[in-house]
Amino acid sequence: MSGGLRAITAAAVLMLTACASRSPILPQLVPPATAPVELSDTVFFPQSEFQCGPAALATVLHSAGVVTKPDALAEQVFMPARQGSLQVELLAATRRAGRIPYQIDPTLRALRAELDAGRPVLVLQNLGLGMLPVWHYAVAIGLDPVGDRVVLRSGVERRQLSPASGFLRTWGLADGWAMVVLRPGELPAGADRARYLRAVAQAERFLSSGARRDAYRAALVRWPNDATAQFGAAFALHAGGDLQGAEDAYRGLIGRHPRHAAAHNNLAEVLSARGCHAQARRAAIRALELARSDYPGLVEAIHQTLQGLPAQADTLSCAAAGR
Amino acid sequence: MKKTLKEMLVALLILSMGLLGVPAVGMAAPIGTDTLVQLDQRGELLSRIQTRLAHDDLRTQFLARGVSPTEVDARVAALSTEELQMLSLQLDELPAGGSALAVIGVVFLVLLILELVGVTNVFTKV
Repeated sequence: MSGGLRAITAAAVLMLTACASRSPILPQLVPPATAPVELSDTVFFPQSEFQCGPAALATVLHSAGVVTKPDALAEQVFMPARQGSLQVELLAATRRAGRIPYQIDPTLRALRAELDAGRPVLVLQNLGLGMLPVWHYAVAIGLDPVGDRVVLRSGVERRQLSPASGFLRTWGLADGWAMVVLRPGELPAGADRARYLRAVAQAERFLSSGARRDAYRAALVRWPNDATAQFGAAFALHAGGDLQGAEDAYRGLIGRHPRHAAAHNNLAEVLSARGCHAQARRAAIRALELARSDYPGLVEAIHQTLQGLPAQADTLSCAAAGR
Repeated sequence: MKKTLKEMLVALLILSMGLLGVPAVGMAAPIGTDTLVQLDQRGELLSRIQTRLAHDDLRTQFLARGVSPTEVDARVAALSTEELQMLSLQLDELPAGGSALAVIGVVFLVLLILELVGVTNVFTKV
């Protein structure tokens, strides 16, 4: 017997004994211990060769009301030379579908919370080893604490019952990466404020103005004083053409966060649009001062705003609005 | 003299072409929330030049890895600035979820042995 083989056998024996003596994991990790959860209505797309990314993504998008097929998504996420799909491209394709991708905490508790909220969870697993990874996407749709198993839509298996220990190992080898798909207006179960707002903002370009408004309003209900949520809601009105609503929202934001350079800049834009050129210039100049001291990255954009403002006095239409 | 003028024109053209298609940070448009969340702790943004370079570099890398020319721009455009930069720097080190069917050769043998002794479950569970 060679040294290598002996080592492998020894390791295997150790593993087997370790597995044999293990008590159920799920009840300790995810209270309430006894309640199983399974989103059995979740659609199933059996994957074709290498296409677990598109299949898993189609599954979670479908649950969020997006009508799509793995084949259509393959064009957006599959990378032929890698024979697989990258995590960030799954996020990007979710944005393109008008939904918000949110990465949850790498814990079973967070996964359970999403399932309880009715959202299946797309997970990355490494089915191989740290040194020899075999990357795979699956969709967790249930937890069975009694049987100590995780229920997955995976590969060509409609209902894979993965022992909790094995799932935790393969998921852990992929850093516990997991995402859910949010409809605009939905908050994730264990919402992290900054992470949620970042996710919405990054999807912003692909959302209708109504969808943007819903997504930021959901944040404002939970975190009424958050400057980014207030800004996002104001910008949604602005981009949707509701300039009066946007002006009020930017003013409200500036009232609570007077040093918000971007809000002053955008206020200048809406003021100018309704003929208040002098007021607009004052707002833009204030924006520039604030950006120079607090947000140097915004200076260039604010400069352009200022240069684009007509050098005129306030018009009659501005005075008529009475502000 | 004529040659200098021509050179200057060419330089000007190249410069203006370089500016075309640069993701607009301002361009007299309002500042979007997506720009706001990109600001780092010092209030700085990745410069337009850096963003542009990462964009072009990633586009080339995507094409070289078989992404179709008709899809590549939409795919790159759907990435956030940080994602763009991160991918352009380490595309090949990042996991690409495929399936166990992709396992070949030596990897297959090693995994098969480990599978038989119960360490992994690539083949039984996919």
